[in-house]
Amino acid sequence: MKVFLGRVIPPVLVVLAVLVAWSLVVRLSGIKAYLLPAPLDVVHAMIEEAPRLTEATLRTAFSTTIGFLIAATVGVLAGSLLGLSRWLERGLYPPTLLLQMVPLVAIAPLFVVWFGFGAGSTIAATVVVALFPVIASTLGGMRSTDPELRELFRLLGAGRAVTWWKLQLPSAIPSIVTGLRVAAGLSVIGAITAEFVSGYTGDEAPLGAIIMGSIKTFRTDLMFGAVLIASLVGFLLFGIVNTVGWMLLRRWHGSIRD
Amino acid sequence: MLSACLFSVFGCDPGTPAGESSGEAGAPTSVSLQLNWLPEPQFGGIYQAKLDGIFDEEGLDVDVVPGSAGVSAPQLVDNGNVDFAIVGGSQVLQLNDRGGTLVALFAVYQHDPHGIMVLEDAPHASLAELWADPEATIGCEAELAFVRELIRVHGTEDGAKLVAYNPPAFRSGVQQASQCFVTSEPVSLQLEGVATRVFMTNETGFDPYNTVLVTRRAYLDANPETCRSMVRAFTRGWTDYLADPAPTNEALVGLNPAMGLEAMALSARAQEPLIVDETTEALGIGCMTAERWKTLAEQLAGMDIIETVPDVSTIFEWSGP
Repeated sequence: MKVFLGRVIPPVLVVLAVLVAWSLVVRLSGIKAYLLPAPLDVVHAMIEEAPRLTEATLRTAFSTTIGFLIAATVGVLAGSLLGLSRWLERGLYPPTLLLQMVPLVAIAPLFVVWFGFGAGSTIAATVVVALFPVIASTLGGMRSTDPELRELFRLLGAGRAVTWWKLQLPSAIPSIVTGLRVAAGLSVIGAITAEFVSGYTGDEAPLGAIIMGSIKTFRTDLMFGAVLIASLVGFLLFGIVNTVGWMLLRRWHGSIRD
Repeated sequence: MLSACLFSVFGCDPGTPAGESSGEAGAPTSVSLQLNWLPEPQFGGIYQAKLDGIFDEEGLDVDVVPGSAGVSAPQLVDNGNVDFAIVGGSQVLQLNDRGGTLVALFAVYQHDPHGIMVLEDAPHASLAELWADPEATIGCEAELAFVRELIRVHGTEDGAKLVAYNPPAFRSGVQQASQCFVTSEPVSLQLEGVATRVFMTNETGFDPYNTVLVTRRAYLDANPETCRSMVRAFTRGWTDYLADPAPTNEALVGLNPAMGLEAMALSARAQEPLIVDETTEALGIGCMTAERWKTLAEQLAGMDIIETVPDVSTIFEWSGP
């Protein structure tokens, strides 16, 4: 209990301090609400728009989660494939770098043409944004496998598939988990960006469309609320990745045991 | 002290004019004018005034700042980052409802140029027919006032799906209809060989002024003569531009090469009936009436876009050219 409180209290205190400072800044400076709403105004807007925000959150969370899961699966498989062959790595790794460099905002409108409106485009954009960190971290983890263990597997006559499954993949898990943590945050960014141009609007708006609409109508309070919820979706995904990583590593990896 | 720090972060004190006069007798007054889009015929009269020295003759040194999709002109002028801006009529009421102090000085478009466009051979004969088609998707910004009005009039259930505004999706046929500025998207598509039809949204009776010159109340109170000079220059610039837009269009192409000369000419032609009508012939180009502003305010309040209908005499100033 003491350990738990020791971990929970510091971030809670920091958040409370930020909220108090934010409220004071708004109150003392007289900044107009459309520039910087007070925290209570944001909460009020969130309560007022709760039904719409709830539905929007479910839509965005769905696209984010599916996109993240696809990126995680494809990323681990692709990273593993590249890790098994230097030739493949040299041939395919540079093109995968493009995924990291691509300006999503510029190409997002085309996703609609390719994948249609709604979740299809949003999931595709999420995959594009989240895939590279998983590939890179998997490849890095595969490459850092203990060479002596690899030699041992070779001497024992293990094939590539067995070596990958029994040695390289487990060795790469700490690195993969790190990549997945990065991908979790990026997934939300990818989904929201895509929703700016590919989401349904009106009654079926996801968070990205609500954010965009709020900006256009000077509803900064609602915009802050929607952004906060989007961040929480990313935070939740990050927490799930952390938990899964902890479960996978707790018995044998130094970073967890310590 | 805190206020000073914050204003340095968020902009100037709204009560302090950003563009004071030079202080020297006879020297032009420097002012900044934020546009809400790229240089094109929508701002033709402004560039005409700039190029022909009309601003100079009115004692103004105007820094015309082009806009873009990410520039929020209403907030910039209200916050004191610029002295004047071009905004939509509905935005004046919406921002003021949220604490802004914008004052409209000159309305270029007497009629809202927004519309919903479909391909020429689309099966829909009217906006109502399009809106009722469950197979259709309409690209639009659903929070904008004119779309909210369309939703109010035509509903959203069992009809067309509203999706994000996305011109490539309309161009590719993924989307059957798209919101547009009648002077912009249909013109670009026409030049690409794609014929379209536009259902003007002002036909529903929701017809806000657009491309409106605004400043903030504190600036107007502190600089009434500068504002009058600005309105006079706008009147002269727009009158000259409407008489012969070609020379200014050539200059506009230099400022916005993505829009060619032919597109500029088509756009200028398309906007003329939005700028000149019976009212402007009686009251002067750029004119505004309390009745129109009041109607707009009541419509916005009826859609819960603004909370209260303001005293419209506080949101516009029009005393003739």
